[in-house]
Amino acid sequence: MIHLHNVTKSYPPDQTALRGLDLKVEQGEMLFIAGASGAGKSTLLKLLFGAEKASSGEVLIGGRNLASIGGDGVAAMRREVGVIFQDYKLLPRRSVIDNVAYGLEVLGVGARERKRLALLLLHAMGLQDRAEAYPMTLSGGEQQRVAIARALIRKPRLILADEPTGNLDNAMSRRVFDLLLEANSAGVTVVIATHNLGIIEELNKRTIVLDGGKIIGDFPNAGGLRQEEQP
Amino acid sequence: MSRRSDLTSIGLTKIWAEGQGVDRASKRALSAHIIRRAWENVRRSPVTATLTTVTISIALFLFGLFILLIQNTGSAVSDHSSKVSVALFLADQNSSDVSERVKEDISAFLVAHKVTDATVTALSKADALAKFREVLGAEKDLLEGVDADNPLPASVEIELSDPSSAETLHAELTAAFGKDPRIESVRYSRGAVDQLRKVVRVVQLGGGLGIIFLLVITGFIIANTIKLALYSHRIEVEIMHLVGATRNAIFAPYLIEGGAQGVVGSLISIAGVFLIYLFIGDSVRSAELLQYLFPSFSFLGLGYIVLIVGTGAVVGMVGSFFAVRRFITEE
Repeated sequence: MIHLHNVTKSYPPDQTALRGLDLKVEQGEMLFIAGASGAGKSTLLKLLFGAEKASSGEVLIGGRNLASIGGDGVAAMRREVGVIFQDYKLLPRRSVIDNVAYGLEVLGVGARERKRLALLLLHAMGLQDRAEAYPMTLSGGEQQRVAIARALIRKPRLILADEPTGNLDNAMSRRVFDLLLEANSAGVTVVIATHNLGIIEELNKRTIVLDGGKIIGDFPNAGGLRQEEQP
Repeated sequence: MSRRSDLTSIGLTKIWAEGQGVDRASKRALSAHIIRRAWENVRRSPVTATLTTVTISIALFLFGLFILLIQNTGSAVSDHSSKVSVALFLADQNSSDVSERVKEDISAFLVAHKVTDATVTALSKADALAKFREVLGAEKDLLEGVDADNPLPASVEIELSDPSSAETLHAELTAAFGKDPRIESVRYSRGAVDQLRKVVRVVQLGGGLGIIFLLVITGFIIANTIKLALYSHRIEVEIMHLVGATRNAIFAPYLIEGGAQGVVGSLISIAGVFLIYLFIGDSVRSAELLQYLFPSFSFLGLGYIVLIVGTGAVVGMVGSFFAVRRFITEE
Protein backbone atom coordinates (compact mmCIF):
# COMPACT_ATOMS: atom_id res chain seq x y z
CA MET A 1 0.00 0.00 0.00
CA ILE A 2 2.79 2.40 0.99
CA HIS A 3 6.30 2.21 -0.39
CA LEU A 4 8.96 4.80 0.43
CA HIS A 5 12.32 4.43 -1.24
CA ASN A 6 15.27 6.49 0.01
CA VAL A 7 13.07 9.50 0.74
CA THR A 8 14.63 12.75 1.90
CA LYS A 9 12.75 15.96 2.67
CA SER A 10 14.66 19.20 3.11
CA TYR A 11 13.55 22.78 3.66
CA PRO A 12 15.60 25.79 2.72
CA PRO A 13 18.06 26.93 3.72
CA ASP A 14 19.53 23.86 5.41
CA GLN A 15 16.90 22.00 7.44
CA THR A 16 16.44 18.30 6.73
CA ALA A 17 13.24 16.81 8.15
CA LEU A 18 13.60 13.27 6.74
CA ARG A 19 16.78 11.47 5.70
CA GLY A 20 16.89 8.50 3.35
CA LEU A 21 13.71 6.78 4.56
CA ASP A 22 12.87 3.28 3.32
CA LEU A 23 9.50 1.91 4.39
CA LYS A 24 6.93 -0.63 3.23
CA VAL A 25 3.42 -0.88 4.66
CA GLU A 26 1.13 -3.64 3.37
CA GLN A 27 -2.57 -3.25 2.63
CA GLY A 28 -4.58 -3.87 5.83
CA GLU A 29 -1.63 -3.23 8.12
CA MET A 30 -1.74 -0.93 11.15
CA LEU A 31 1.42 1.07 11.81
CA PHE A 32 2.40 3.48 14.54
CA ILE A 33 5.02 6.16 13.92
CA ALA A 34 6.60 7.09 17.21
CA GLY A 35 9.19 9.69 18.05
CA ALA A 36 9.75 12.91 19.92
CA SER A 37 8.46 16.26 18.70
CA GLY A 38 10.44 17.35 15.62
CA ALA A 39 11.45 13.77 14.77
CA GLY A 40 9.70 14.03 11.37
CA LYS A 41 6.40 12.20 12.09
CA SER A 42 4.10 14.91 10.68
CA THR A 43 6.38 15.51 7.69
CA LEU A 44 6.24 11.82 6.85
CA LEU A 45 2.43 11.85 6.97
CA LYS A 46 2.35 14.98 4.78
CA LEU A 47 4.44 13.18 2.17
CA LEU A 48 1.99 10.27 2.25
CA PHE A 49 -1.01 12.37 1.20
CA GLY A 50 0.85 14.67 -1.14
CA ALA A 51 0.74 17.85 0.98
CA GLU A 52 4.54 17.94 0.68
CA LYS A 53 6.80 16.66 -2.07
CA ALA A 54 9.88 14.60 -1.34
CA SER A 55 13.13 16.41 -2.09
CA SER A 56 14.53 13.10 -3.34
CA GLY A 57 13.49 9.47 -3.44
CA GLU A 58 10.12 7.92 -4.29
CA VAL A 59 6.78 7.90 -2.47
CA LEU A 60 4.35 5.29 -3.83
CA ILE A 61 0.77 4.97 -2.59
CA GLY A 62 -1.17 2.04 -3.99
CA GLY A 63 1.57 1.63 -6.61
CA ARG A 64 1.31 5.24 -7.82
CA ASN A 65 4.33 7.51 -7.58
CA LEU A 66 3.04 10.78 -6.11
CA ALA A 67 5.73 12.79 -7.89
CA SER A 68 4.38 11.83 -11.31
CA ILE A 69 0.57 11.77 -10.99
CA GLY A 70 -0.02 15.55 -11.14
CA GLY A 71 -2.57 17.71 -9.31
CA ASP A 72 -5.68 15.78 -10.40
CA GLY A 73 -3.99 12.47 -9.60
CA VAL A 74 -3.12 13.69 -6.10
CA ALA A 75 -6.73 14.87 -5.60
CA ALA A 76 -7.99 11.44 -6.71
CA MET A 77 -5.54 9.73 -4.34
CA ARG A 78 -6.68 11.95 -1.47
CA ARG A 79 -10.27 10.87 -2.03
CA GLU A 80 -9.14 7.32 -1.19
CA VAL A 81 -7.34 8.44 1.95
CA GLY A 82 -8.91 9.53 5.23
CA VAL A 83 -6.62 12.06 6.86
CA ILE A 84 -6.99 13.07 10.52
CA PHE A 85 -5.07 16.31 10.84
CA GLN A 86 -3.38 17.34 14.07
CA ASP A 87 -4.88 20.83 13.69
CA TYR A 88 -8.26 19.34 12.57
CA LYS A 89 -8.57 21.49 9.42
CA LEU A 90 -12.32 21.96 9.71
CA LEU A 91 -14.13 24.24 7.27
CA PRO A 92 -14.89 27.27 9.46
CA ARG A 93 -17.98 28.41 7.55
CA ARG A 94 -19.68 25.04 7.57
CA SER A 95 -21.63 23.36 10.33
CA VAL A 96 -20.40 20.18 12.03
CA ILE A 97 -22.66 17.97 9.92
CA ASP A 98 -21.55 19.73 6.72
CA ASN A 99 -17.91 19.28 7.71
CA VAL A 100 -18.39 15.55 8.24
CA ALA A 101 -20.47 15.26 5.06
CA TYR A 102 -17.72 17.03 3.10
CA GLY A 103 -15.84 13.72 3.06
CA LEU A 104 -18.69 12.43 0.86
CA GLU A 105 -19.26 15.69 -1.01
CA VAL A 106 -15.85 15.37 -2.68
CA LEU A 107 -17.01 11.98 -3.96
CA GLY A 108 -20.13 13.52 -5.50
CA VAL A 109 -22.63 11.86 -3.13
CA GLY A 110 -26.05 13.54 -3.10
CA ALA A 111 -26.89 16.00 -0.30
CA ARG A 112 -29.58 13.90 1.40
CA GLU A 113 -27.45 10.75 1.53
CA ARG A 114 -24.34 12.47 2.78
CA LYS A 115 -26.28 14.20 5.58
CA ARG A 116 -27.93 10.94 6.61
CA LEU A 117 -24.60 9.12 6.80
CA ALA A 118 -22.90 12.04 8.54
CA LEU A 119 -25.62 12.06 11.19
CA LEU A 120 -25.18 8.33 11.76
CA LEU A 121 -21.45 8.83 12.35
CA LEU A 122 -22.05 11.86 14.58
CA HIS A 123 -24.35 9.70 16.70
CA ALA A 124 -21.59 7.13 16.94
CA MET A 125 -19.13 9.84 17.99
CA GLY A 126 -21.52 11.32 20.55
CA LEU A 127 -21.77 14.56 18.61
CA GLN A 128 -25.35 14.40 17.37
CA ASP A 129 -26.35 17.38 19.53
CA ARG A 130 -23.65 19.51 17.95
CA ALA A 131 -24.58 18.71 14.35
CA GLU A 132 -25.66 22.25 13.46
CA ALA A 133 -22.93 24.02 15.48
CA TYR A 134 -19.96 25.72 13.80
CA PRO A 135 -16.38 24.59 14.49
CA MET A 136 -15.38 27.75 16.36
CA THR A 137 -18.03 27.02 19.02
CA LEU A 138 -16.64 23.52 19.73
CA SER A 139 -14.02 22.48 22.27
CA GLY A 140 -10.68 21.12 21.02
CA GLY A 141 -11.79 17.57 21.74
CA GLU A 142 -15.07 18.03 19.86
CA GLN A 143 -13.26 19.51 16.87
CA GLN A 144 -10.90 16.55 16.86
CA ARG A 145 -13.85 14.14 16.83
CA VAL A 146 -15.43 16.03 13.93
CA ALA A 147 -12.15 15.80 12.01
CA ILE A 148 -12.03 12.04 12.71
CA ALA A 149 -15.64 11.62 11.61
CA ARG A 150 -14.90 13.42 8.32
CA ALA A 151 -11.95 11.11 7.65
CA LEU A 152 -14.05 8.00 8.37
CA ILE A 153 -17.36 8.94 6.71
CA ARG A 154 -16.50 6.85 3.67
CA LYS A 155 -14.41 3.71 3.61
CA PRO A 156 -10.92 4.80 2.62
CA ARG A 157 -8.12 2.49 1.51
CA LEU A 158 -5.76 4.27 3.88
CA ILE A 159 -6.19 6.25 7.08
CA LEU A 160 -3.45 8.67 8.10
CA ALA A 161 -3.81 10.05 11.61
CA ASP A 162 -1.56 12.71 13.11
CA GLU A 163 -1.84 12.64 16.92
CA PRO A 164 -5.55 11.73 16.65
CA THR A 165 -6.20 11.73 20.40
CA GLY A 166 -4.01 14.66 21.43
CA ASN A 167 -6.96 16.64 22.79
CA LEU A 168 -9.16 13.81 24.00
CA ASP A 169 -9.74 12.35 27.44
CA ASN A 170 -9.16 8.66 28.09
CA ALA A 171 -12.72 7.58 27.40
CA MET A 172 -12.88 9.39 24.08
CA SER A 173 -9.37 8.24 23.14
CA ARG A 174 -10.57 4.67 23.62
CA ARG A 175 -13.53 5.31 21.40
CA VAL A 176 -11.34 6.79 18.65
CA PHE A 177 -8.90 3.87 18.74
CA ASP A 178 -11.85 1.48 18.67
CA LEU A 179 -12.88 3.21 15.45
CA LEU A 180 -9.42 2.94 13.97
CA LEU A 181 -9.15 -0.73 14.96
CA GLU A 182 -12.57 -1.38 13.48
CA ALA A 183 -11.49 0.27 10.24
CA ASN A 184 -8.31 -1.78 10.25
CA SER A 185 -10.30 -4.97 10.84
CA ALA A 186 -12.30 -4.09 7.73
CA GLY A 187 -9.07 -4.14 5.69
CA VAL A 188 -8.18 -0.44 5.81
CA THR A 189 -4.47 0.39 6.18
CA VAL A 190 -4.00 2.66 9.20
CA VAL A 191 -0.92 4.79 9.91
CA ILE A 192 -0.91 6.73 13.18
CA ALA A 193 1.72 9.24 14.24
CA THR A 194 1.82 9.61 18.00
CA HIS A 195 4.19 10.10 20.89
CA ASN A 196 1.71 8.34 23.20
CA LEU A 197 3.66 5.16 24.05
CA GLY A 198 0.84 3.96 26.32
CA ILE A 199 -1.49 3.58 23.33
CA ILE A 200 1.24 1.91 21.27
CA GLU A 201 1.91 -0.60 24.02
CA GLU A 202 -1.75 -1.31 24.53
CA LEU A 203 -2.59 -1.93 20.89
CA ASN A 204 0.62 -3.89 20.29
CA LYS A 205 0.95 -3.15 16.57
CA ARG A 206 3.92 -2.61 14.28
CA THR A 207 5.78 0.57 15.25
CA ILE A 208 8.56 2.54 13.62
CA VAL A 209 10.55 5.05 15.65
CA LEU A 210 11.82 8.24 14.06
CA ASP A 211 14.65 10.34 15.40
CA GLY A 212 16.24 13.28 13.60
CA GLY A 213 14.38 12.36 10.40
CA LYS A 214 15.69 8.75 10.34
CA ILE A 215 14.00 5.45 11.13
CA ILE A 216 15.96 4.18 14.12
CA GLY A 217 13.73 1.20 14.83
CA ASP A 218 11.06 -0.90 13.12
CA PHE A 219 9.27 -3.22 15.56
CA PRO A 220 6.62 -5.77 14.62
CA ASN A 221 4.85 -5.18 17.94
CA ALA A 222 5.12 -3.21 21.17
CA GLY A 223 7.15 -5.99 22.79
CA GLY A 224 10.12 -5.23 20.59
CA LEU A 225 9.79 -1.55 21.38
CA ARG A 226 9.79 -2.29 25.14
CA GLN A 227 12.93 -4.38 24.85
CA GLU A 228 14.63 -1.59 22.87
CA GLU A 229 13.74 0.94 25.55
CA GLN A 230 15.21 -1.19 28.35
CA PRO A 231 18.93 -0.70 28.89
CA MET B 1 -6.81 1.95 29.64
CA SER B 2 -8.45 -1.33 28.76
CA ARG B 3 -7.48 -2.98 25.50
CA ARG B 4 -10.85 -2.13 24.01
CA SER B 5 -13.52 0.15 25.35
CA ASP B 6 -17.00 -1.06 26.17
CA LEU B 7 -18.11 0.17 22.78
CA THR B 8 -16.36 -2.56 20.82
CA SER B 9 -18.02 -1.35 17.64
CA ILE B 10 -19.82 1.86 16.86
CA GLY B 11 -21.02 0.41 13.62
CA LEU B 12 -18.44 1.97 11.34
CA THR B 13 -18.60 -0.94 8.94
CA LYS B 14 -22.39 -0.72 9.00
CA ILE B 15 -22.23 3.00 8.11
CA TRP B 16 -19.77 2.23 5.32
CA ALA B 17 -22.05 -0.52 4.08
CA GLU B 18 -24.94 1.95 3.99
CA GLY B 19 -22.74 4.37 2.07
CA GLN B 20 -21.97 1.77 -0.61
CA GLY B 21 -23.79 2.40 -3.84
CA VAL B 22 -25.63 5.51 -2.66
CA ASP B 23 -26.82 7.76 -5.40
CA ARG B 24 -24.40 10.28 -6.80
CA ALA B 25 -25.65 13.86 -6.99
CA SER B 26 -27.23 14.64 -10.35
CA LYS B 27 -25.67 17.37 -12.50
CA ARG B 28 -28.64 19.56 -11.73
CA ALA B 29 -28.28 19.04 -7.99
CA LEU B 30 -24.54 19.64 -8.28
CA SER B 31 -25.09 22.93 -10.16
CA ALA B 32 -27.67 24.04 -7.58
CA HIS B 33 -25.22 23.13 -4.82
CA ILE B 34 -22.42 25.17 -6.44
CA ILE B 35 -24.69 28.21 -6.89
CA ARG B 36 -25.85 27.87 -3.26
CA ARG B 37 -22.22 27.80 -2.12
CA ALA B 38 -21.48 30.94 -4.17
CA TRP B 39 -24.48 32.68 -2.63
CA GLU B 40 -23.42 31.62 0.88
CA ASN B 41 -19.94 33.03 0.23
CA VAL B 42 -21.50 36.40 -0.61
CA ARG B 43 -24.00 36.23 2.27
CA ARG B 44 -21.31 35.46 4.83
CA SER B 45 -18.89 38.16 3.60
CA PRO B 46 -21.20 41.05 2.61
CA VAL B 47 -18.58 43.76 3.17
CA THR B 48 -15.90 42.22 0.97
CA ALA B 49 -18.49 41.25 -1.65
CA THR B 50 -19.76 44.85 -1.73
CA LEU B 51 -16.21 46.22 -1.90
CA THR B 52 -15.43 44.00 -4.88
CA THR B 53 -18.66 44.95 -6.65
CA VAL B 54 -18.11 48.68 -6.07
CA THR B 55 -14.50 48.49 -7.32
CA ILE B 56 -15.65 46.74 -10.48
CA SER B 57 -18.49 49.22 -11.00
CA ILE B 58 -16.18 52.26 -10.64
CA ALA B 59 -13.72 50.80 -13.15
CA LEU B 60 -16.46 49.92 -15.62
CA PHE B 61 -18.12 53.31 -15.13
CA LEU B 62 -14.95 55.03 -16.41
CA PHE B 63 -14.74 52.41 -19.16
CA GLY B 64 -18.37 53.17 -20.09
CA LEU B 65 -17.72 56.93 -20.24
CA PHE B 66 -14.84 56.40 -22.67
CA ILE B 67 -17.04 54.18 -24.81
CA LEU B 68 -19.81 56.81 -24.77
CA LEU B 69 -17.29 59.41 -25.99
CA ILE B 70 -15.83 57.18 -28.68
CA GLN B 71 -19.21 55.98 -29.90
CA ASN B 72 -20.55 59.52 -30.33
CA THR B 73 -17.43 61.03 -31.90
CA GLY B 74 -17.44 58.10 -34.31
CA SER B 75 -21.01 58.88 -35.30
CA ALA B 76 -20.00 62.53 -35.88
CA VAL B 77 -17.61 61.51 -38.66
CA SER B 78 -20.08 59.22 -40.36
CA ASP B 79 -22.83 61.83 -40.00
CA HIS B 80 -20.77 64.67 -41.48
CA SER B 81 -19.13 62.45 -44.07
CA SER B 82 -22.53 61.48 -45.40
CA LYS B 83 -23.35 65.14 -45.94
CA VAL B 84 -20.40 66.10 -48.15
CA SER B 85 -21.32 68.83 -50.61
CA VAL B 86 -19.66 71.00 -53.23
CA ALA B 87 -20.68 74.65 -53.30
CA LEU B 88 -20.14 77.27 -56.00
CA PHE B 89 -20.28 80.77 -54.53
CA LEU B 90 -21.42 83.42 -56.94
CA ALA B 91 -19.85 86.80 -57.35
CA ASP B 92 -21.63 89.26 -55.11
CA GLN B 93 -23.23 91.41 -57.80
CA ASN B 94 -25.15 88.50 -59.30
CA SER B 95 -28.84 88.41 -58.79
CA SER B 96 -31.01 85.43 -57.96
CA ASP B 97 -31.87 84.65 -61.58
CA VAL B 98 -28.16 84.21 -62.22
CA SER B 99 -27.96 81.56 -59.50
CA GLU B 100 -30.84 79.73 -61.20
CA ARG B 101 -28.97 79.84 -64.52
CA VAL B 102 -25.79 78.62 -62.89
CA LYS B 103 -27.83 75.82 -61.34
CA GLU B 104 -29.10 74.82 -64.79
CA ASP B 105 -25.56 74.89 -66.22
CA ILE B 106 -24.28 72.74 -63.38
CA SER B 107 -27.14 70.28 -63.73
CA ALA B 108 -26.30 69.94 -67.41
CA PHE B 109 -22.62 69.51 -66.49
CA LEU B 110 -23.49 66.73 -64.03
CA VAL B 111 -25.62 64.95 -66.62
CA ALA B 112 -22.76 65.23 -69.13
CA HIS B 113 -20.38 63.75 -66.53
CA LYS B 114 -22.87 61.01 -65.60
CA VAL B 115 -23.18 62.15 -61.98
CA THR B 116 -26.63 60.85 -61.08
CA ASP B 117 -26.58 60.85 -57.27
CA ALA B 118 -26.39 64.60 -56.76
CA THR B 119 -28.97 67.10 -55.58
CA VAL B 120 -28.45 70.62 -56.88
CA THR B 121 -29.91 73.56 -54.97
CA ALA B 122 -29.69 77.25 -55.78
CA LEU B 123 -29.47 79.61 -52.80
CA SER B 124 -30.02 83.29 -53.26
CA LYS B 125 -28.38 85.83 -50.96
CA ALA B 126 -31.66 86.07 -49.05
CA ASP B 127 -31.85 82.26 -48.80
CA ALA B 128 -28.29 82.18 -47.45
CA LEU B 129 -29.17 84.76 -44.81
CA ALA B 130 -32.32 82.87 -43.82
CA LYS B 131 -30.30 79.63 -43.53
CA PHE B 132 -27.69 81.35 -41.37
CA ARG B 133 -30.45 82.69 -39.11
CA GLU B 134 -31.71 79.12 -38.77
CA VAL B 135 -28.25 77.93 -37.76
CA LEU B 136 -27.93 80.66 -35.16
CA GLY B 137 -31.23 79.68 -33.60
CA ALA B 138 -31.77 81.68 -30.43
CA GLU B 139 -28.88 83.95 -31.35
CA LYS B 140 -30.48 85.06 -34.64
CA ASP B 141 -30.94 88.56 -33.25
CA LEU B 142 -27.25 89.09 -33.94
CA LEU B 143 -28.19 89.45 -37.61
CA GLU B 144 -30.67 92.22 -37.01
CA GLY B 145 -30.21 95.02 -39.49
CA VAL B 146 -28.04 93.13 -41.98
CA ASP B 147 -30.91 92.50 -44.43
CA ALA B 148 -30.25 95.74 -46.19
CA ASP B 149 -26.59 95.02 -46.70
CA ASN B 150 -26.52 91.23 -46.81
CA PRO B 151 -22.85 90.11 -46.92
CA LEU B 152 -23.61 86.49 -47.71
CA PRO B 153 -23.11 85.38 -51.30
CA ALA B 154 -25.63 83.49 -53.41
CA SER B 155 -24.55 79.94 -54.14
CA VAL B 156 -25.34 76.68 -55.85
CA GLU B 157 -24.89 73.61 -53.66
CA ILE B 158 -24.40 70.07 -54.89
CA GLU B 159 -25.07 67.41 -52.27
CA LEU B 160 -23.66 63.99 -53.03
CA SER B 161 -24.97 60.71 -51.73
CA ASP B 162 -21.53 59.17 -52.39
CA PRO B 163 -19.06 61.36 -50.46
CA SER B 164 -16.04 59.62 -51.97
CA SER B 165 -16.69 61.23 -55.36
CA ALA B 166 -16.71 64.77 -53.91
CA GLU B 167 -13.01 65.42 -54.38
CA THR B 168 -13.05 64.47 -58.09
CA LEU B 169 -16.21 66.45 -58.72
CA HIS B 170 -14.71 69.46 -56.95
CA ALA B 171 -11.67 69.33 -59.23
CA GLU B 172 -13.84 68.98 -62.36
CA LEU B 173 -16.15 71.82 -61.36
CA THR B 174 -13.16 74.04 -60.55
CA ALA B 175 -11.73 73.32 -63.99
CA ALA B 176 -15.04 74.00 -65.72
CA PHE B 177 -16.36 76.95 -63.73
CA GLY B 178 -13.36 78.32 -61.85
CA LYS B 179 -12.80 81.04 -64.47
CA ASP B 180 -16.47 81.75 -65.03
CA PRO B 181 -17.00 85.45 -64.14
CA ARG B 182 -20.27 84.59 -62.42
CA ILE B 183 -18.42 82.30 -59.98
CA GLU B 184 -16.25 83.59 -57.18
CA SER B 185 -15.08 80.26 -55.76
CA VAL B 186 -15.72 76.52 -55.79
CA ARG B 187 -15.49 74.84 -52.39
CA TYR B 188 -16.39 71.58 -50.90
CA SER B 189 -16.95 70.55 -47.29
CA ARG B 190 -14.45 67.72 -47.36
CA GLY B 191 -11.88 69.90 -45.69
CA ALA B 192 -14.09 70.40 -42.65
CA VAL B 193 -14.85 66.69 -42.52
CA ASP B 194 -11.14 65.91 -42.74
CA GLN B 195 -10.48 68.29 -39.88
CA LEU B 196 -13.26 66.68 -37.89
CA ARG B 197 -11.87 63.25 -38.72
CA LYS B 198 -8.49 64.34 -37.36
CA VAL B 199 -10.07 65.62 -34.13
CA VAL B 200 -12.10 62.44 -33.79
CA ARG B 201 -9.02 60.31 -34.46
CA VAL B 202 -7.19 62.09 -31.65
CA VAL B 203 -10.18 61.67 -29.34
CA GLN B 204 -10.55 58.00 -30.23
CA LEU B 205 -6.83 57.31 -29.98
CA GLY B 206 -6.72 59.08 -26.62
CA GLY B 207 -9.86 57.23 -25.55
CA GLY B 208 -8.44 53.89 -26.73
CA LEU B 209 -5.17 54.48 -24.88
CA GLY B 210 -7.20 55.63 -21.88
CA ILE B 211 -9.23 52.42 -21.97
CA ILE B 212 -6.10 50.26 -22.18
CA PHE B 213 -4.49 52.20 -19.34
CA LEU B 214 -7.70 52.02 -17.35
CA LEU B 215 -8.10 48.28 -17.94
CA VAL B 216 -4.53 47.58 -16.81
CA ILE B 217 -4.80 49.74 -13.69
CA THR B 218 -8.32 48.69 -12.75
CA GLY B 219 -7.58 45.06 -13.61
CA PHE B 220 -4.75 45.22 -11.09
CA ILE B 221 -6.96 46.92 -8.48
CA ILE B 222 -9.85 44.50 -9.07
CA ALA B 223 -7.56 41.45 -8.90
CA ASN B 224 -6.13 42.67 -5.59
CA THR B 225 -9.56 43.55 -4.20
CA ILE B 226 -10.84 40.08 -5.06
CA LYS B 227 -7.67 38.55 -3.60
CA LEU B 228 -8.23 40.45 -0.37
CA ALA B 229 -11.92 39.54 -0.38
CA LEU B 230 -11.13 35.86 -0.89
CA TYR B 231 -8.32 35.85 1.65
CA SER B 232 -10.83 34.95 4.34
CA HIS B 233 -11.65 31.85 2.24
CA ARG B 234 -7.98 30.85 1.94
CA ILE B 235 -8.14 28.22 4.70
CA GLU B 236 -11.35 26.82 3.24
CA VAL B 237 -9.77 26.47 -0.19
CA GLU B 238 -6.67 24.78 1.25
CA ILE B 239 -8.74 22.32 3.29
CA MET B 240 -10.96 21.42 0.33
CA HIS B 241 -7.80 20.77 -1.65
CA LEU B 242 -6.31 18.57 1.11
CA VAL B 243 -9.50 16.54 1.51
CA GLY B 244 -9.45 15.68 -2.18
CA ALA B 245 -11.86 18.11 -3.83
CA THR B 246 -11.26 18.46 -7.57
CA ARG B 247 -10.03 21.79 -8.87
CA ASN B 248 -13.37 22.32 -10.62
CA ALA B 249 -15.30 21.76 -7.39
CA ILE B 250 -13.06 24.26 -5.59
CA PHE B 251 -13.07 26.90 -8.32
CA ALA B 252 -16.71 26.77 -9.46
CA PRO B 253 -18.42 28.61 -6.54
CA TYR B 254 -15.75 31.32 -6.51
CA LEU B 255 -15.92 31.81 -10.29
CA ILE B 256 -19.70 32.14 -10.09
CA GLU B 257 -19.36 34.55 -7.16
CA GLY B 258 -16.78 36.66 -9.06
CA GLY B 259 -18.82 36.58 -12.28
CA ALA B 260 -22.00 37.63 -10.48
CA GLN B 261 -20.20 40.48 -8.72
CA GLY B 262 -18.82 41.57 -12.11
CA VAL B 263 -22.28 41.56 -13.72
CA VAL B 264 -23.85 43.51 -10.84
CA GLY B 265 -20.91 45.96 -10.89
CA SER B 266 -21.29 46.44 -14.65
CA LEU B 267 -25.04 47.10 -14.35
CA ILE B 268 -24.36 49.73 -11.67
CA SER B 269 -21.72 51.31 -13.94
CA ILE B 270 -24.15 51.40 -16.90
CA ALA B 271 -26.74 53.08 -14.69
CA GLY B 272 -24.06 55.63 -13.71
CA VAL B 273 -23.16 56.30 -17.35
CA PHE B 274 -26.88 56.70 -18.14
CA LEU B 275 -27.22 59.33 -15.41
CA ILE B 276 -24.23 61.20 -16.85
CA TYR B 277 -25.76 60.89 -20.31
CA LEU B 278 -29.02 62.42 -19.06
CA PHE B 279 -27.15 65.12 -17.19
CA ILE B 280 -24.95 66.32 -20.07
CA GLY B 281 -27.25 65.36 -22.95
CA ASP B 282 -29.15 68.68 -23.06
CA SER B 283 -25.97 70.73 -22.80
CA VAL B 284 -24.43 68.84 -25.72
CA ARG B 285 -27.51 69.28 -27.88
CA SER B 286 -27.79 73.02 -27.23
CA ALA B 287 -24.11 74.01 -27.63
CA GLU B 288 -23.21 74.71 -31.27
CA LEU B 289 -19.62 73.39 -31.14
CA LEU B 290 -20.54 70.25 -29.18
CA GLN B 291 -23.43 69.68 -31.57
CA TYR B 292 -20.96 69.65 -34.44
CA LEU B 293 -18.74 67.13 -32.57
CA PHE B 294 -21.71 65.05 -31.43
CA PRO B 295 -24.43 65.60 -34.06
CA SER B 296 -26.49 62.68 -32.76
CA PHE B 297 -25.52 62.37 -29.10
CA SER B 298 -26.96 59.02 -28.08
CA PHE B 299 -26.67 56.54 -25.21
CA LEU B 300 -24.53 53.39 -25.43
CA GLY B 301 -25.69 50.97 -28.08
CA LEU B 302 -26.84 47.47 -27.11
CA GLY B 303 -23.55 46.00 -28.34
CA TYR B 304 -21.54 48.25 -26.02
CA ILE B 305 -23.84 47.46 -23.08
CA VAL B 306 -23.30 43.74 -23.69
CA LEU B 307 -19.54 44.44 -23.96
CA ILE B 308 -19.49 46.21 -20.57
CA VAL B 309 -21.56 43.50 -18.86
CA GLY B 310 -19.38 40.80 -20.45
CA THR B 311 -16.22 42.62 -19.40
CA GLY B 312 -17.55 42.80 -15.83
CA ALA B 313 -18.32 39.08 -15.75
CA VAL B 314 -14.94 38.13 -17.25
CA VAL B 315 -12.98 40.49 -14.97
CA GLY B 316 -14.79 39.11 -11.89
CA MET B 317 -14.23 35.49 -12.89
CA VAL B 318 -10.59 35.93 -13.92
CA GLY B 319 -9.84 37.84 -10.69
CA SER B 320 -11.41 35.05 -8.61
CA PHE B 321 -9.61 32.37 -10.61
CA PHE B 322 -6.17 33.85 -9.97
CA ALA B 323 -6.91 34.52 -6.30
CA VAL B 324 -8.09 30.94 -5.65
CA ARG B 325 -5.30 29.44 -7.75
CA ARG B 326 -2.77 31.30 -5.66
CA PHE B 327 -4.22 29.83 -2.46
CA ILE B 328 -3.91 26.33 -3.88
CA THR B 329 -0.37 26.76 -5.20
CA GLU B 330 0.78 28.56 -2.06
CA GLU B 331 -0.20 25.58 0.10
